[in-house]
Amino acid sequence: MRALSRLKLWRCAKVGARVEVRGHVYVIGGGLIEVGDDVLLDGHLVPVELHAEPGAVLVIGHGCVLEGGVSLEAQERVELGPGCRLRAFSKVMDNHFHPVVGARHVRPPSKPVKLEAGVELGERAIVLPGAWLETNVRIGPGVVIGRHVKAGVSLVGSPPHAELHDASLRDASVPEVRP
Amino acid sequence: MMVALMELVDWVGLHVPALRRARTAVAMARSHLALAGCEVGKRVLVHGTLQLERHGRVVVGDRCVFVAGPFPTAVHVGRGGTLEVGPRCYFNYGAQLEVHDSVRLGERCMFGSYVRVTDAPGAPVVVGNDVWVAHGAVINAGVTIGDGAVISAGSVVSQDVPAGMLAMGNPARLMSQQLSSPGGDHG
Repeated sequence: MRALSRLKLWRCAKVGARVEVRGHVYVIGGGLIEVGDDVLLDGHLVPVELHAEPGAVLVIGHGCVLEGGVSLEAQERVELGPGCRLRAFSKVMDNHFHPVVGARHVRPPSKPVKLEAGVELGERAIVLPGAWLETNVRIGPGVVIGRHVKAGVSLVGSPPHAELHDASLRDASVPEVRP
Repeated sequence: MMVALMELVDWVGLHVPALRRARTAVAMARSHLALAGCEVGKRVLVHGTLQLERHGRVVVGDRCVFVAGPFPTAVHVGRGGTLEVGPRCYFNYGAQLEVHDSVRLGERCMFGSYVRVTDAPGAPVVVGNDVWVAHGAVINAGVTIGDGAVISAGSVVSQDVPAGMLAMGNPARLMSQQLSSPGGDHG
């Protein structure tokens, strides 16, 4: 079973121990993809997409769980820390691919994305270029976030607003969230 | 067998530059198969799986592209429904178009992955030219989107969007594209 999982990830530069792939995983691009130990890619209903363009780096930390329909797209660098959980159809990307203003077919510069240890993304959540989510941040379903979020903060809604889920962090400042 | 051969040529063409033309030819051939019975323009490319359930009229303009990906693009046109796709539109994988009355998409529109467009009887959807609908956005029935508008990632649009505006959030709120910061929460 694990041999089959490694076979499905043959295009990844580095695959850790005890990695499990259920169903399909869609690995594209010629970039560097590193998968840590004990990672679970659960694509038995909908495939998981791992996309790293040539020269880009996509790192999936130890013990991460990626559910079906999750899409990770790295044009420069996307890094998931250990123990992250990405729920169904969530997406992480480090490039907008098109500018809002001006020529739509000129690709804008990438901004690396970092999810630290224990981050959880809800269903259909979207992490945009330049986002930096510190440890144990929880992003609710459908939230779109593209900025720095401090440790232990929960974000819900769209546009996102903060909720603290850890009582010890009640005094911590909440991130600036644009209305 | 034929489909498997097309998949093979498509995959090889993606990785071997010398076979790009063969890949394009396969995508054009696939468009004739996937869009059989539709009014299809010139050089329409279907790279991935396109699931079409057609009980009404479907018009696809010249040089439209349907991209391959981990999830198929799905088009459902109900009885008496009309789907008109303008020239040079671009659909990323997983887009869903559900038509019961009328959905008109303008020229050079871009639809990101997992975008959903749906109408209802008496509430048609009209999308102008040069509109960009980013990943995971939902366009609901009765909505008209003006030329050059941008629908940000994950937005749910239930009201009209004027030309040149940026719509973001759930429900979508309008803002000027000039005010959108490069690091903002748009798609």
